[in-house]
Amino acid sequence: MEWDMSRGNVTLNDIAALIVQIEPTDLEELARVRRALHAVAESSSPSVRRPMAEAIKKIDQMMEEKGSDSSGFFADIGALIEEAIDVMERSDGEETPFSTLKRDQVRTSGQSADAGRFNGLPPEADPALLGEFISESRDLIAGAEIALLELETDPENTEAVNTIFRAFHTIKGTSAFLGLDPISALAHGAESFLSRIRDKEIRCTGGYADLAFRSVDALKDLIKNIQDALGGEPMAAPEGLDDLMALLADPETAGILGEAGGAPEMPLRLGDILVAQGKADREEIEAAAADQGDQPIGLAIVRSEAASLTEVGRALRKQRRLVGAEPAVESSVRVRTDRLDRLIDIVGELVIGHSIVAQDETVNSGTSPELQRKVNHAGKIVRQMQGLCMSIRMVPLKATFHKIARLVRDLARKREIMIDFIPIGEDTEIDRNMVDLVNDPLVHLVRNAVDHGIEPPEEREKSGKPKAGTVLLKAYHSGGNVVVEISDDGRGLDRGKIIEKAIAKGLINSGMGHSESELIHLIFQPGFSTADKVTDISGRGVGLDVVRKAVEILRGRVDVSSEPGRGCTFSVRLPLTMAITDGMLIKVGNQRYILPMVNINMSFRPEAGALSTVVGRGEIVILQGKVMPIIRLHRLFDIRGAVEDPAQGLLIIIGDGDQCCALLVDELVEQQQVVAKSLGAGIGKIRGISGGAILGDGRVGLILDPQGIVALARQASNPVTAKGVG
Amino acid sequence: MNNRTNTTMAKAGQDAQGSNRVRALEGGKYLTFLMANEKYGLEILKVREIIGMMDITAVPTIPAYVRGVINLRGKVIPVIDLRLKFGMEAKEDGQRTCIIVVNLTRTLQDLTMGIIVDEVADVINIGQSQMEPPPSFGVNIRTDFILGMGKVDHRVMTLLDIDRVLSGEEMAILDKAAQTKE
Repeated sequence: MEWDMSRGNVTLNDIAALIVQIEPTDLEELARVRRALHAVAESSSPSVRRPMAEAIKKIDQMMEEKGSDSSGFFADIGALIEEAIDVMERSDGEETPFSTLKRDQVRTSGQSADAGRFNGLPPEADPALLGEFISESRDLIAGAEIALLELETDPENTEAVNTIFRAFHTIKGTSAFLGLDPISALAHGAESFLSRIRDKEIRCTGGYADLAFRSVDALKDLIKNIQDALGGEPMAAPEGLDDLMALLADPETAGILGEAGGAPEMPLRLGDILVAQGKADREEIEAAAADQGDQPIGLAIVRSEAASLTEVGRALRKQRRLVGAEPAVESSVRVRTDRLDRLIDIVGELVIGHSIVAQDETVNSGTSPELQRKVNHAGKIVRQMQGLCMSIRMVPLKATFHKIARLVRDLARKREIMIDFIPIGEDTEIDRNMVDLVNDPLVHLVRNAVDHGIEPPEEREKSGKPKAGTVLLKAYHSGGNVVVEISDDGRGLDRGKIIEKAIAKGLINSGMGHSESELIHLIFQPGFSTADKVTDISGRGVGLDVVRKAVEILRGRVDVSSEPGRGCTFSVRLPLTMAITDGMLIKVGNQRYILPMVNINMSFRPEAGALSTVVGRGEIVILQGKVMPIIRLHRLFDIRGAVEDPAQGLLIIIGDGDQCCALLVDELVEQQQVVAKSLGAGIGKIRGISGGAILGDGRVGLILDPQGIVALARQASNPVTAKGVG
Repeated sequence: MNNRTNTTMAKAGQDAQGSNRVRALEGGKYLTFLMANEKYGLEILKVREIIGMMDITAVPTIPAYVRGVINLRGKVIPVIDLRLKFGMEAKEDGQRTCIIVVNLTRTLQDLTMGIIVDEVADVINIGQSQMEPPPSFGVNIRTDFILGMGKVDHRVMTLLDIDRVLSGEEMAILDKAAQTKE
C-alpha cells in the first residue's frame, strides 16, 4: 500500500490504519507517520492537536529507543490517534451531550482565559457548590455501588434498585441545576434504564447488571473529571460515554441480555470484544481471522471491512484494559487485636528508644555528622512506621452509617413520613474499638431526629417546608477529633417547654439570665425529656442524658444547636482513638502525673488572700466569687518534697458544677499526647489513678482520675474514715 | 491458743496444696537468686527475663511491697519487692539488685510481673531426688507459697511457687487494700 503523504488531504483515519500495519523496526515508515501527523495537526483545532502532539512525541521516543517494547508504544500512539479522531468527530457536529460540552469548551476558551478557567465547566458555576456536588455525588455513587453489589447476589432486591435509582436521580437534579449537562444526561439515561429494572420489566442480571455498573463507573469518571477541572486540569471526555448512552437507551439491540448466558464476561479476544460490543458480525470476523495470515488480527479485521478502524482501535484499548486491569479489591488480613496492640506498644517503644539514641551526646556532638545523618534517617523510618501503626487501628464509619441509613428508612416508613437521609463522610475513620461504642449514641440521636424532629408531611407543608424532611448525618475530622453531626430540618427544640420542664425539675428558677445555649443544653440533664407522649407534640430530649454519658465515656462531647421551626443539629465530638489521651504532665514533689486535658478547667496561682480554712481543717480557695475546696495531691498520695503553700504552687480546677475542686500541684510541665495503658492486671483498680502511660523518657507516668481523686479527698477529710493521711 | 485447732488448720492447708505439689516436685531447671543470704529458686519456665534495676514509678495508695510500675518495652508491669513481701528488712538497691520478670498463670489471664531480688545466682538442674517437701513451721510461718526445698551441693534453697507468692486471693486482697486504704 502506498500513501502519498505530501498530498495534504490525509485523514487521521488513514494515519491510524497505517499505524496498525506498520512494522516496529521500520523507521522510515515511522518518520512518514510522524510527518503526516504534523501536517494534520497543523490544520486541526487545539483540542485535537493535543493528543496528536503527544502521539508525535511518542513516535520520537520510540525512534530513539527502537527495539525496546515497541508494542506498548504502538498501543499508546494508536490510543492517542483514536482520541484525536474521537475529538474531531465530536466537534464535527454530532449532537451528543458531550460534544455540546466540548464545543462549549472550545467556544468559551477564548473568553474565559482571563478568568483563568479553561476546563469546560459552566462559566457561571460556583466552585464551592461544585465541590459540594462532587462530594455528595461520591457518597451517592458509593451507596449505589454497594446496592449494586447487593443486587448481584439478590436481583430481586427492590430496595437496592431504589437506592441506585435515587442516587442517579439526585445527581441528575443537582447536575442539571449546576449546568453539568453530560452528567445530567448520563444520569438521565441511567435513570430510565433503572426504571425498567424497578418496574420489573427487566431483571438486573448478566449484561444488564454490567450496564448498570458501567453507568456508575462512567458517572464516577465524569465526576472525577469535574474535580480535575476544578483543580485547573483540562477536562477530558471519558471514553465510550456516547456508546454507553446509546446502550442505556437501547441495550437489547446491542445484544445485551439479562440472562447469565446472554452476555458473558468480556472476552479477551479482539474479535470477541467487537462481537460482544455489537460492532461486528461474528461470521465476518471469523472469516477475517481465517485468512489473516501473518498480519495482526486487528489489521485483518479492518482490511476485511468487518469493522471500522475506530471500532478496532477501541476494542484494542478495551482488550488492553481487560488484560491489564487487576481486580480493584482491597485485600485484607484479619489480625488479632492484642497482637495489634502489642505491635503498637513496641513501635511506641521504638520511637522512645530511637529518640534516646538521637539525643545521645555522641550523636549530637557534631564530631560524626555521618552518624547523625544515619540516625536521622532511621528516625524518619521510625516515625513513618508509627503513623502507619496508628492507622492500622482505624476503620471507616461506613458500617455505622449503613445501619443508620437503614434505621432512618424503617422509622420513616413506620411514622409514614418522608425523609431524605443524607449521609456524608462515611469514610471518616475512627479507632476500631470505638466504632461499636459510638453506634448507640448516634442511633439514639438519629431516632430522636426522625421520631420527634421531623414533622408529619401536612404540618411541614403548612409551614412552607418541602414535604420530605431531611436528616443529615455528617462525619468529618477536625483538629484531631472525629465530629459526627446529625441535623434535621424539623421543628427544632421547644425553648418554652424546656424552660417549663427545667423549672418543674428545679434545675433553674426562671428562663431569665440564661443564654440560649445554656437553656438548650439542659436537655442533657438526667431524666429531662420534653416529649409529651399524650399529644405527641414534643420537643426533643428523650434520654439525652444517656447519650451524653455514652459520649463522655468515649472522652467525647455532645453539643446541640437549634433554630425553632428550622431544625436542630447535634454534634458529637470524639477523639480519634481512646488509646491516646491528651494530657498535661504535672509535677508534684519528685513525682510526675498526667492529668487528662478534658478534666482541666483552668489553672492559676492563688493570691494568699484568696485562701482560707473552714473549721481549721478544710482548706478552700475563692476564685471569681466561687468557693472551692483545695485537694492536696501530695497529701493524698503521700509524696514528699512537694510544694506545701498553695500560693507557691499551682491550683488546677477539676470537675464541674458544684463538684469543682482545686487540685494543688507544684507545676505544669508540658502538654503531651500519651497512650493510656492499664497498670497491669496484677495491680487492678487504684482510686485516683486511671492508668499509666509511657512518657518521652521511657518512664511510666500515672494518669490521674479526677473523679477518683475528689472521692478520695472526700473520704480523707471525713474524720471517721481518715487515718494517717499526710 | 487452742493447740488442736492449729494443727487442723495446718493440715487442711497442706491437703489443699497437695495436688499441686506432685507436678512441681518432678524436678527441673530452676533460676536461683539470693535475698538476705538465703537462696531461692524459681521454676525457669515461669521466668521471662532478667533486667537490671531501672526507674520505678511509685503508685500511691497500694501496699508498700508493690514498688510501683515499670515500662517493659512498652508494656506497663507492676514490680514487687520480694523482701518486703516476705516481711524482711528493706535494703537499698545495689549494683546487683535486679528485676526478674515472671509470667504468672492465673485463672483468667496470664500476668506479667517483676520481682525485685538482691542478686541473681545461676540456673541449676534439680532432680526429683534432691527435693523435699516444705517443712512445717506451724502456723506462724506461711509455707503455702513454697514448692519444696532443694538440696544442691550441701546447700538448701527454698523453691518458690511464684503463682502462690502472688496468688489470686492475695492479689484480690491487694486490690481491695488499694480500694479501701485511707
